[in-house]
Amino acid sequence: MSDNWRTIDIDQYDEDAYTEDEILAEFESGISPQEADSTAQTRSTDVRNFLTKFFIYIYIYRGDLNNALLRALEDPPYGRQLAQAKQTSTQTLLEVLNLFRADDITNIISTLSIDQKDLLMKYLYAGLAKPELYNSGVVLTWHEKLVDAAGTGCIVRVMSDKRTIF
Amino acid sequence: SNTLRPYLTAVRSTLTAALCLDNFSSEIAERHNTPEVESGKSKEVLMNPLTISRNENEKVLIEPSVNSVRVSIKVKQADDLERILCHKFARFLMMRAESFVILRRKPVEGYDISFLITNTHTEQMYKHKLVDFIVHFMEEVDKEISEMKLSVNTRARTVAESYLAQVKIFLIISSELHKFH
Repeated sequence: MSDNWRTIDIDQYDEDAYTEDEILAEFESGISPQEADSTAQTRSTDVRNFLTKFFIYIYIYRGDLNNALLRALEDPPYGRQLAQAKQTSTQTLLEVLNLFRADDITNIISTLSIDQKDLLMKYLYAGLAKPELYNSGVVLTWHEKLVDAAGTGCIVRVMSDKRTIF
Repeated sequence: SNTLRPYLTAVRSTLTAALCLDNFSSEIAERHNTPEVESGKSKEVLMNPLTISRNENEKVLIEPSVNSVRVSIKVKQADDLERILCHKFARFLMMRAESFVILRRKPVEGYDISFLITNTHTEQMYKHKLVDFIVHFMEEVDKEISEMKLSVNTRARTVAESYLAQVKIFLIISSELHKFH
């Protein structure tokens, strides 16, 4: 007398069961990996242009650093197959963050909208997850200032949002 | 160094955000109530795990869910002696996990020590005190391991000196005896 029927996972045959794939598919942005990669690359080039202008006119064009940050926070690559685009985007953004002076951080954060602050927090955690690639000290400073401005609610939204950057 | 304070602040704020726990019965088995982060069967109650790292050797992994949080800490270990001391110290604590209440008996893969905090713990204990405890633990464990390393080295030096002093006496006596032959 076999008891194999006891080991069957009955939930897989339940049509109404809400699987992880379904949950994540809801939050797909619908972009293909190639499209997302090229968007990320374009964004990265735009940001680099802002940054080179910043380096040349370093004392006058401080506004370009702010523009670079705002441009880096556009079009986040949400989706399950977009790992490369996510990495490129994180790298672009963290390059920009490294260039801010410690005193300017609070000012630029206060100009961001709630959505931008949430997105920035997601990128910060993506950066902290890879200490071998990114400078954790800078990311931790930004994290502290962002929590002062946006509160722990920002962190809760990062934890519960299935549209992830990391 | 100067990354310690922002590191601990980040851990503190992330833990405070993660420790919003509620009672949640198991969706898989009737009348069961398990920590969802350990069971992992219901995907919709698990939240994104977050890592906070100070550098490659020190990081904290926080895995939140609706009724439980798993906090795993990787302690800085610079050389073999510190590795052994950290391993033994963590093992000492983990064998007494029952009296610790929030400690997990086995660390998560890749980390040195893990805590499991459930909604029953947050109901019985103050949330801000739990967070204080974990951050304090992270600060203290580094100091403990440095102290233990110092005392091991001191003990080793004392043992070696007294042993070698005896060897020296033995060699002198045997060389004296040789002269009489």
